[in-house]
Amino acid sequence: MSGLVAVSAAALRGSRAAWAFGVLALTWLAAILFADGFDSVSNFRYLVQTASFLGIVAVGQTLVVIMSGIDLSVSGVVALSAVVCAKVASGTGGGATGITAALALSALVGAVNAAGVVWLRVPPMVMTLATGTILAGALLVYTDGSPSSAAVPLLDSLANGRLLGVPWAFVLWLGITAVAGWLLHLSRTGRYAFALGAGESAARASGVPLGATAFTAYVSCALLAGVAGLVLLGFTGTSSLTMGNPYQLLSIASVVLGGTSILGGRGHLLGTVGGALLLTLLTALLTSWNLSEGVRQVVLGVLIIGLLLVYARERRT
Amino acid sequence: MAPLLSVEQVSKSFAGNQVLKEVSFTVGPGEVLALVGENGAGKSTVLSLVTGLLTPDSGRVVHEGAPVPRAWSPHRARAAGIGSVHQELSLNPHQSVAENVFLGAWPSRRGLVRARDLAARARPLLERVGLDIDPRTRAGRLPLGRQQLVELAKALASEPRLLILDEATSALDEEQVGAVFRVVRELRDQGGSVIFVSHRMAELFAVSDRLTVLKDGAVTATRERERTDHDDIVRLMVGRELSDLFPEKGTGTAPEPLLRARDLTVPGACSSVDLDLAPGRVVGLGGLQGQGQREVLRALFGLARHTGRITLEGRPVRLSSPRDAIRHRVAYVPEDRKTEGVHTARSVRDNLALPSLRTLAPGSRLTTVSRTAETRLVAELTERLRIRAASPAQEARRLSGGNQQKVALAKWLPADPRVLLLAEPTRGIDIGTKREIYHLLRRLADEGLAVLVTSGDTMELVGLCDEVAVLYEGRVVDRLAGPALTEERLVRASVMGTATETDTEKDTEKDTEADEPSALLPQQVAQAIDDIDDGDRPEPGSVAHA
Amino acid sequence: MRERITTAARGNTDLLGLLALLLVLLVAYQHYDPSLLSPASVTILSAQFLPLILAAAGQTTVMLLGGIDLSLGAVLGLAMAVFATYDARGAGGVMTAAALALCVAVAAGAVNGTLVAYAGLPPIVVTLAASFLWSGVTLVVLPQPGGHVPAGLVDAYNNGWYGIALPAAALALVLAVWKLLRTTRHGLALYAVGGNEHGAYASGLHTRGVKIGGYALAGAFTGLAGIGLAVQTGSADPTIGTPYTLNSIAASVLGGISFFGGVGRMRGTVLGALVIGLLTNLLLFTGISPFYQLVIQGVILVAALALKTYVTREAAE
Repeated sequence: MSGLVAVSAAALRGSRAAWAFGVLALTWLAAILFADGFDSVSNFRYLVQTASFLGIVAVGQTLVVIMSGIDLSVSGVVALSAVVCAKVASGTGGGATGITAALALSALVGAVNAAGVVWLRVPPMVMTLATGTILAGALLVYTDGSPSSAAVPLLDSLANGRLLGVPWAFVLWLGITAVAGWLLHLSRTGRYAFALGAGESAARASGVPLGATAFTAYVSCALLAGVAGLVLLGFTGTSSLTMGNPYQLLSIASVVLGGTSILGGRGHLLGTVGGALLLTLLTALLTSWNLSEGVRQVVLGVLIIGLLLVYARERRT
Repeated sequence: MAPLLSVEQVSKSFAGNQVLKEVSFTVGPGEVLALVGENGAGKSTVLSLVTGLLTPDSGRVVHEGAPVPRAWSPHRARAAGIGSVHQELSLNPHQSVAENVFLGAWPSRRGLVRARDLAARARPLLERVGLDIDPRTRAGRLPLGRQQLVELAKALASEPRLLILDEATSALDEEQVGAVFRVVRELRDQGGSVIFVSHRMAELFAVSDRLTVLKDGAVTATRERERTDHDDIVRLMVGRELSDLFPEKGTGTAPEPLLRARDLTVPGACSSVDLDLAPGRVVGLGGLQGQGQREVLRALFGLARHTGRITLEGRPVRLSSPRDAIRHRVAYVPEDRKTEGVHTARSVRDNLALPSLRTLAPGSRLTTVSRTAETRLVAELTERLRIRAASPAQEARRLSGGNQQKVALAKWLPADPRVLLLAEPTRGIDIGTKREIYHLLRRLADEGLAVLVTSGDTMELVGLCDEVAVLYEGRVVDRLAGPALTEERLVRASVMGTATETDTEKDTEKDTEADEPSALLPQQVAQAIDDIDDGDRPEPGSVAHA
Repeated sequence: MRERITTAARGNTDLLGLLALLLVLLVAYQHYDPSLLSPASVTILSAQFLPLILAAAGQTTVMLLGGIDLSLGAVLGLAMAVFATYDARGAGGVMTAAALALCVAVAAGAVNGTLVAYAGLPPIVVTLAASFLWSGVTLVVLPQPGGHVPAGLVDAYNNGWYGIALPAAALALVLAVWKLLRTTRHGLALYAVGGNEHGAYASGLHTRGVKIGGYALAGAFTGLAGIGLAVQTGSADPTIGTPYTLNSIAASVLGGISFFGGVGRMRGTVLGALVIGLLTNLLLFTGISPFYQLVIQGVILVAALALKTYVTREAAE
């Protein structure tokens, strides 16, 4: 019996992503049993819809974290994409131009991040922190402090519409996860990313293309943050300079709760999906109990630390 | 007399892999015990149990008549009078020598540690280990050998009654080893005890009273020094005789060179090195440690910035990054296996497939990697090099050093390299795997590869290579091939920095005994011959302080 | 004598560049504001810079241990909130409030340190999760901007107290304490653990205790920064601490503190913080829209780091 437990424990320790889903399932069950309103389809629908915004950013973050980078500029990019799209769309440009401009700029930010990390050899944390700061300033300059709102029909239906009862945002998120999962776990680039995360010098000496891999990861991450910004714009119909702020830390928390090592080289993209759903569910649960903002954050912080202690410890070597 | 320390029936496993099987030995007061064994025999593990870095699964360690408590730690061990020096440095490179000597136990007056006071207290300890340096120097600025002596001074600072020297002499020259011996004898005369581990047979016999031999995690024998000899100990260590350690060398005349390097210069490491690598030939780079051998290899693999002309099959090539080198089918097995050779945290499968992803996923970078092709490739390589792994999914860090090295080498083979560069290919590897690797390298050469090897092991260069270029302060001072390639000439060129003038017959001295340095040779030569037994002496600069 | 000077210069080459940059900034500043060196200006400027300098000192302490503190801004906000919420009357009351705020900050730091030391979680993850926790506690203590700091104290702090620039005095005191600390066993242990943790452990240092102590000390610095900020602004704001996380990292990195621990000096960090502070003020004088501040700050950070990496790489080769 104890042998069986040990074996299954070992298997679980081997797959931290499974942990994320296990905890998610338990929490959901508990929510349905003990909290009001979590047993309805509409609630479920709403949850996966809101989880999608965070989830899309977190998928991009996973790509970067796996190659032992980190992207702290996602909050800036989310705001950038929403603000730019809103401004262009509400001005002369129209929706399509707005979306194109927003995504192009997002990708550009990712490229700048990668360039700084690869060519200037600035540590990723500082580099993305700096681009995030620059973005915040640039947005202030661009909007003169007052960002505009805009109704872009395409984005509106993307964020609020449904496909066969499933929110489009969730479908989009799953689609993005599938593509990113293939990129990370099946393609050559993904192997290179894991190799870089596990040890840069050994990866270099094995001929891993450092530059190309870093560019792919950072540009994808920024692009996904841009997509999240657009969906958010569609969801709220308005843009703000701070709308991206929660996603900076929450996206990293989703990645880590999903079992990916923050040090890189180990993890699974699906875990991040579980992590993002779990975080969204926890937030919703805490909100449903009418806790104040402060208490909610305290409980969330304690829960995250507790969960990490249970299954995300780094091995001591 | 009651022993100072006795290790009783201790066993230890890591992840189901038993590395110690009921090991027992004792050390009495005023005694020097040598622990002997091949790499991976369990010496360091059993010593870690004594110093509190690890706890045994079963059995116990008795120190001064009482079993050590469960919560045994380096801190407590040090307080209880156990000092230790390991091959792996524990200095903080960013702090001063004096601060390092008293690391963790800085003498203070009213809570304040005064730099001048610290330096004054450190000086006598440094003198005791034969170091004449300013105690305020940053430890990281010292050459490796001196850092090792600072470690010894640090161990002495806590006035230990039991001193553990685990490969503490591996980076030291003759004079420095002499200083260590002085300390050991001093301690013994005062009734202290010493456990001594070294790869150099001569050192073991020079200083120990008893020798305990470990093999595969178990004690095979304990011998009084007077009642044993070199051959006896080697037999106990290896457990069998090894006759065909080295393969037959290549025959015939040297073919047209494949890779030609002219005027190869790496600033600060080597200058104007000319090298010709031909298919079917194994060329060695010899010399004392740190004469630029490593940088020549790194330059040829695009890892070190260099100038000079390099041609491959007559065409000039630029090797400015590993990717350039790999494109030209140059492969490299680095000496720093765990950071450059393999990804220790990744599976054997991932490690083996990494350089071959281009063939496993042809087309663009976004192509899916074929799992079936990968599995086939990994199975082939595992089979071909007889890599002993529990499964392809096993993490590389769980493999033994020899199998890790096989992985580091095997991963290049599918790319069909033309030039194979290996730095210290058998460092820290047991003798059986050494033999396998020597034979494999020769087979690869016979299949048409040009092989270049650096090694600090003279016997290895002489036994394996067709030709050896000897480096001295970054320049090639001698080239030895055919009958001229003998250990004696190699060592002479290494320490003198000049080529041997005439081609006198020295073949008879090929069998120079490691523990019987010829009286005719200068002191340094004797030292270098001592090193022949020393498979894993770290090179200055190779110790990472990250 | 000459030898001594060259030795001293060599030990501080890192800082010389920063010092030169600071001088250039000061000269430029003098150009716009000739009263720069008057006591009133010194008081006001030091009052303005003190919180950042202290926050950077806290971040530096953690970075010297080889860690990073992403919860610094949250802890700063917490200390500020506790200080301003305590109904302080008279000098005794202010001291009690300050002591209380400091205790809370030290406790928060110690909790961070305990999690890092015992949980086997990377510092970046622990402090990320802790940032939720501490900002939540802050919101519980002070849900809205507000609180109260005695007006006399605010005035004395910002305009001098019997001709003494209190913030400058506080800074001098803190630097003196740090200097003293560096010569104690605890200070040496901090550097030893940061420089080579395994070596320090194998040498019998209680590395976990050292870490907890280091994080607690960082908490003390951060707490002082929070108190300083409350006194400077005369009230408290639960979210005002957020930018200090990034700015403290920026100041430390500019000051030459290594991300890998064990390398760097507090005086470098102080210079780094001064450069960031002066630059911000200078931009105001030049009449450039304050919106550009963030942009320029980010660019300077990247440029300084890239230059430093480049120089050290050249020197190494």
